[in-house]
Amino acid sequence: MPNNDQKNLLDVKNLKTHFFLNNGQILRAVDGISFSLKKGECLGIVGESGSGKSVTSRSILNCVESPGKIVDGEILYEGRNLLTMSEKELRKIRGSDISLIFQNPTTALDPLQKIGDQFFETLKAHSSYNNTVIKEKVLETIKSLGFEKPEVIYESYPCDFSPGYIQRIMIALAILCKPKIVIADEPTTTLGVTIQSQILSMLDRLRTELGTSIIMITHDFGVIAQVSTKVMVMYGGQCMEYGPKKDLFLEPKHPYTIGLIRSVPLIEARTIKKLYTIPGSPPEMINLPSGCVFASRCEYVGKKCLTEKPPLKKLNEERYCSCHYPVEFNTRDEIII
Amino acid sequence: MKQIIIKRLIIGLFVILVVTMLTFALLQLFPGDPAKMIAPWAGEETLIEIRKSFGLDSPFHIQVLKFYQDALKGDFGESFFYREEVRTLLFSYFPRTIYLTLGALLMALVISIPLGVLSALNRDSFIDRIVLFISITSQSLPNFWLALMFILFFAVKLGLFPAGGYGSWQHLFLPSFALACTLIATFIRSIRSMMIDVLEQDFIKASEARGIPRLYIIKKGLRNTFVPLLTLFTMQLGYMLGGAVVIEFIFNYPGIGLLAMQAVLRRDYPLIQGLVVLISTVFIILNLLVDLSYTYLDPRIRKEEL
Amino acid sequence: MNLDTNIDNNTLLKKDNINFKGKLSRWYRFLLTNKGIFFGSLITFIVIFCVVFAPLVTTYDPLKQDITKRLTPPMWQDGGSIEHILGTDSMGRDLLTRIIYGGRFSLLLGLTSVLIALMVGTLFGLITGYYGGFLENILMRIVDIQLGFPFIILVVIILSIAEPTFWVLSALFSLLLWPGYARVVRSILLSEKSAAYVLAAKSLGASDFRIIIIYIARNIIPSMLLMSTMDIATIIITEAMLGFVGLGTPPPAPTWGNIMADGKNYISTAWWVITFPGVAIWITLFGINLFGDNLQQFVNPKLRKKY
Repeated sequence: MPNNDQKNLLDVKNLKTHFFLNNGQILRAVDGISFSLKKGECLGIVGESGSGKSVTSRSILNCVESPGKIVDGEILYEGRNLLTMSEKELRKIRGSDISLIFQNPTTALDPLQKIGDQFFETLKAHSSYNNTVIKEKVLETIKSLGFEKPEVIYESYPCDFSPGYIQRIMIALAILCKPKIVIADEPTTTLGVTIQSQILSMLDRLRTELGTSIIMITHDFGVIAQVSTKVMVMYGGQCMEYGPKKDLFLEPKHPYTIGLIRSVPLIEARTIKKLYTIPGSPPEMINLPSGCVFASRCEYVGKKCLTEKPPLKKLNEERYCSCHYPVEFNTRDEIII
Repeated sequence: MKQIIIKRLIIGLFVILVVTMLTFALLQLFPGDPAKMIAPWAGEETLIEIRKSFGLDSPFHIQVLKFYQDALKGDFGESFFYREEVRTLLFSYFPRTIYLTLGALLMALVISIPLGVLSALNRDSFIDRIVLFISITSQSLPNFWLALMFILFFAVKLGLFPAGGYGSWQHLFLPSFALACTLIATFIRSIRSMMIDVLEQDFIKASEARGIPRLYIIKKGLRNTFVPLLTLFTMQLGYMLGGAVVIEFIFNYPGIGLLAMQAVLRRDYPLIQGLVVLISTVFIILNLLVDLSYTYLDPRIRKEEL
Repeated sequence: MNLDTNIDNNTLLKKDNINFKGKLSRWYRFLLTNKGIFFGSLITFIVIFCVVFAPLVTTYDPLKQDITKRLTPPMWQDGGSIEHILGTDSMGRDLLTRIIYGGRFSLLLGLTSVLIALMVGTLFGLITGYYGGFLENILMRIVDIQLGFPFIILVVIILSIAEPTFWVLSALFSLLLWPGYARVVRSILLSEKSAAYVLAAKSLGASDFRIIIIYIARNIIPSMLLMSTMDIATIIITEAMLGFVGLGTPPPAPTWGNIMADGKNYISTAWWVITFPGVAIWITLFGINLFGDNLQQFVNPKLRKKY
C-alpha cells in the first residue's frame, strides 16, 4: 500500500453531472461522487450499466456532451481544479496528463487516418519536438508495449487489425505522452477472454513499472479483482461503497456490494449452489426514489431506507459506505479469494 | 475489382446503345423534313441532293447501322447547321461546360463547407436556423430566375460582371454562381447532417479526450464526410446538366448545353446524336471513376475489395 | 421479496403501455411539435388555398388583355394603382392573377405527375422486391439508363415533337420519376423482409398481408411522402424552366414559366414582371422544402434531435 501521507494525484469531491433532457426532466447520471487517487494506485469503479460509471470518466476530463452538465463539485488534479480551467488549459491536460481508453476499440480511431498519423497528431499537440523526433518517439512507444513491427503499424489503417490488437494499440496511444493517470472505460468488455487478460496485464505493468495511476471502469468484478487496489461501487449515480480492494472484497458492508460479489460465478467455490441474482432491475434514472436508491431491490431494506437517503458514512480511515444498516458479511464463508 | 470494372463498362455500353437507339427513334418522330431545315429556301432538286449527301434518303435501319459503324471510328458525321465535323464542335464546346461546372462545384464547396460545419457545430442554435434558411432558400429559387436577377443586379445595375458571353473568368462568375445555387442547398444540408453524425462518433470524442485542437477535429470530421459527399455530387450531375442548359441559354454561354438546345431546335440530327453519346459516356465514366475513387479514399472499402 | 416482484411486474406493464401509446402518438407529437413542419405546411396550405380559390382571391381573368394598361408598375410605385396590386404584364394582364393561376397549373402538374409516378413505382417496386429475378434486373437497368442518360435532352426533344399540354408534361415527368420510387420501395421491402422484427412477427404466425400492411407500409409511407414533396418541388422548378425557354405550355396560358419568359424581354424596363413569379416560386417551394426537410428528420432518425 502506498504511503498515506503521499499527496493525492486526483481528488474528486462531490461531483454531480446531470443531463437536462428536452422535456424538462433532469437525469442525475452522477450525483455526488467523491474519491481520490494516488500515484501508482488503481481505482476500480464498478456498477451495472447505467449507473453513471462512464459519465464519471468523461466528467473527470470535463468533456461531458450536452445536454449533460457538471453542476457541482470539484475535480482537483495536482491541486488544480479542472472544472474552472479554460478550454485551452484543459486541452493541455487531456491526453498528456490524463488519458482515456475507450470501450470499443474499433470505433475509437479515425477509420480514414493512418494509425501513425493519429499518434503523431496527439504527440504534436502536446509537445514541441520536431516531426522526426515525434515519429521516433511514436515508434518507440509502440515498441515498448511489445509490438514487433512498429513501422508497419505506423503505416496501417485501423481496419487492418482485429479489435483486440487495436485495443492494445489504443493503450500505446494512451501512454504516448506519459500520462500520470489513465482512465480505462470498460477496455475489455467487447473483447475475448484471452485478449482481456493480455490487456489487463498490460495495464497492470503500466502501473507497477511506470507508476501510472489507473482508473478502471467496469461492470466485471473479475476485472476489478485482477488489477485494482481500490474499489468504488456505484449504483444509480451514487457511491454505495468505497474502500481498499481487499477489505471490500472480504468484508463488504453494503447489501449491493454483497449482491454483486455473490453473483460472480467462481469455480473455487466450496459448495456448488445456484448463482445469486439481485432481484429487480437497475433504477430508472429519471425518477429516482427519495430514499435509498437501492431500497427497492435490497434484501435488508428497513423503513428508514424508503424515506431517508443514507449519507456516505466513514467506517474507518479508508472505508466508506452509504447504508443505514451496514451488513456484517464475510465472503470467506462462500468463496476463497 | 477488375470484374466489377468490366461489368460496369459493359452496362455502360449497353446504356449508350439504348440511349442512342431511343434518340434515333425519337428523331424519326420529328415533324418536318431535316433537309428543309438545312436549306429552307432550296428547291426540290437541291433538297434531294442534300438528303443524298447526308444519307437521309436511305432506309431507317441503314441509317442506324451506318451511324454505329462511324461512331465506332469516332466519327459522328457533319453538323447540318454548322457544316463542321460534330467531333470538332464537341471538342471546342465541351471544355467550356466543364469550366462552368467546375466553377459551380468550387463555389458550392467554398460556400457550403463553412456553413455546413458551422451549423453542425452549433446544432439547433440561431446560427443553425439561419443556415437552414439559406439552404432552403437556395433550394427554392429557380436557378434561371436567379441568373436573371444576377444579370439585372451585378451586370446591368452595378456593371461588375459581363451579362453574358465567354472569354475571361468574369464571364464564368455569374453563370457558375447561378448553377451552384442548387448544389449549395444539398451540400449544406448533407454536410451538416453528416458532420453531426461524425461528431457523435467515438473517435471524435476520443480525439477530444486526447486534447487534439478543435481545428484538427473538424478536419477529421470533414474527411469522413467526403466520400458520401462525392456520391451526392454524382447524383446531382444530371441536374447540373439540366441547369447548364438553361444557364448557358440565359448567359449566351457557348457550352454544350446551349449547343444541345440549339441542335434540337434546328433539327441538327448528327449533332444531337453526338451530344447524347458524349454526355452519356461522360456520365458513365464519371460514375465509374467516383466508385473507383472510394477504394483510394476509404481504406475499409479497399480492404473489402482486395 | 414477493412484494418486490409485484412492483416490478407492474412497472414493466406500465412501461409497455407507455411504449405502445408512444408509438401511436409519436407521429402526431412529432408533426405537431416540429416548428419546421408546422410553418412549412402552413405556407403550403396558404398557397394551396389561394390557388384553389383563385376566382375568390382575384376578380380578374388571367387571359384578359388591356393594352391601355401595359406594364403598369406595382401599386406602391409611381404610376401603379390599387387595381393591379403587382402591376400588369406586357399585354396589360393583371400580374397577380396570372401568378395565382400559374400556381394552379404548377401545383396540379406536380401533384398529378407525382401521383402517377408513385402508383406505378410502388407497384413495380413491390413486385420486383417480392419476386426478384428478371423484373428486378430490368428495373436495375432502367435505373442505370436513368443515371447515364442526359434526360434534359430527351425532354427537349420530346417537347419539341409533342404539343406540351398538361397531360403530356405530367406523362413526361412521371416517366422520369417512377423508377426512383420503384427503387426505394424495393430496397425498403428487401431490408424489411429480413428485419428481425418482421421475422419475429412471421414466427408468431402473422400473415403476409398483415406484415406488409403493418410493418412494411409503416416504413414505406414516410419515405414516399418525403420523396413526393421533394419531387413536386423539382417539377415546379423544371416546368417553370421549360416554360421560360419556350418549351412549356404555349404562351397565352398563365404558367410561371410563360410569365417569366414574357418578363425577360422587359427586364430593364419592367422589373416586376420577371421578379414576382420568381418570388411566388420561392414562397411555394420554401413551404414545401421546409416541410420536406423536417419530414426527413422523422424518416431518418439519425438526423432527429437526441433526447
